[in-house]
Amino acid sequence: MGKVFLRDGYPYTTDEVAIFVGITGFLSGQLVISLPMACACSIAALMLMEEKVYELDEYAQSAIAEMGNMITANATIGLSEIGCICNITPPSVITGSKMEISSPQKIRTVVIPLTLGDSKIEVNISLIETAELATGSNR
Amino acid sequence: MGEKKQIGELGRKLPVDKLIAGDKLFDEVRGNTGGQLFMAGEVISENDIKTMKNFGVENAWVYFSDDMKTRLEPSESSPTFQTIFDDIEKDIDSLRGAVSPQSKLEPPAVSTSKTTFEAPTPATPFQQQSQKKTKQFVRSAKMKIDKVVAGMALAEEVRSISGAIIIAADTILSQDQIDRLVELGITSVFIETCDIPKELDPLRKKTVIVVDDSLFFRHMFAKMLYRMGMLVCGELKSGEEAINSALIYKPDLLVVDIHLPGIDGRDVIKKLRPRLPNTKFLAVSSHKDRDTIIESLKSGAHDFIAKPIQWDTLKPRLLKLFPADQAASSQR
Repeated sequence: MGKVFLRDGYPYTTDEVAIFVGITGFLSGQLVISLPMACACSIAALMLMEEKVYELDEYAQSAIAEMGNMITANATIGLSEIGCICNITPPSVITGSKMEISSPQKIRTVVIPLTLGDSKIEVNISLIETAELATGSNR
Repeated sequence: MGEKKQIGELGRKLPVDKLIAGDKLFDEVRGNTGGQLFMAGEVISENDIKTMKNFGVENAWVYFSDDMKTRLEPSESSPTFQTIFDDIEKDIDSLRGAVSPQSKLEPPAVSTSKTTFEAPTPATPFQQQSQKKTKQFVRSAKMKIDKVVAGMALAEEVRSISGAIIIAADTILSQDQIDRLVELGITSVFIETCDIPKELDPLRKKTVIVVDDSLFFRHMFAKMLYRMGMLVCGELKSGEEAINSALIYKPDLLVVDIHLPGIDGRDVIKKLRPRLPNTKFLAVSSHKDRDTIIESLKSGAHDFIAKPIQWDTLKPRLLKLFPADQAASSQR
């Protein structure tokens, strides 16, 4: 794991594959896991118990989405243990190049960089207390 | 392996698009587990024969599929496709005799191009043609392995041989799976005998329906169940589909995610349990809090497993649901 940092602002660019999972409840926001295509295919192959995955077909996408689901769900379990009860939305997998993420509410994004082999993965966590979002006051 | 059986023995036709969902696959060849079906017109190579031997296959049947009609061009000198069927029905004994026990199919020069199956002329009965089968039979187009895997939840391994896939003997296919075979253009199947550890004998051939809105989960769970010798007869994404299918197939086991869109898993279990007294219900969820577990069991589930599901967790739970002593007394 690399050094955790706070993004300067919006928009920011993701890698070729981005997994979006929304968070609701005590906290609102989203988790965006950004990774290169080759890395996504490797992870999908492992999860599907296949030798190799050549493209992100519907099964591979489902596997990757499930990974996002599991990561976020486990995170919300940790949050609930400290009294922040949250729910997650079904994950979305988006593929493309130089995708830009913007946030009208300008919710701050914490980035956890990870390394998997030669690949760099970024976990972008954009969260705010729902009460604050409702009042329109962002820290 | 016992007495060597003939390869090329003709049986009744079982085209893929005529398979009946819910019925045991290849019902006509019941009791011949480990048998293989080949489509008439297929080239059987040395590699195919080796594969069959590795899987312990002793018998093979040849059938014609309806799509052969489009490739046959009846002419004045050759009979129509229907006549070929009539000839086969009448001459089945003599046709068996045409393939002697000692005969071995020699690997032909494999042609990658599609050529049509030559209809035998009335003057040359089919049995004469079958003796020259290595020249007559041709390979159909190969399927991309990944496309076939996507369509077949049951097949653990796929061979892109003649557009065929390998599935477990005695598999029960659902209508969705049969439709998928047709959609993929698969015209023939090879039946594979699955090497299951003895300890999993109680699970062998137990039918299962998996219900989850996640494609990944359905696919992987089916894979795990298949590796345990169970027969996955349905992979469904909603509670409504689950109720309809379960009442048709009456599976031995229904695995259902508690949180489904529409009718949720708990309601599925509540509705089905009274109507399917012989079915075991296994609830699954990524939520493993106490309330979820209690609600699942209250709805009528026999057991609950939290996701992600590991092989080592699943195996003992399934063996608990289907204990060995009960399997012995209710053997099919």
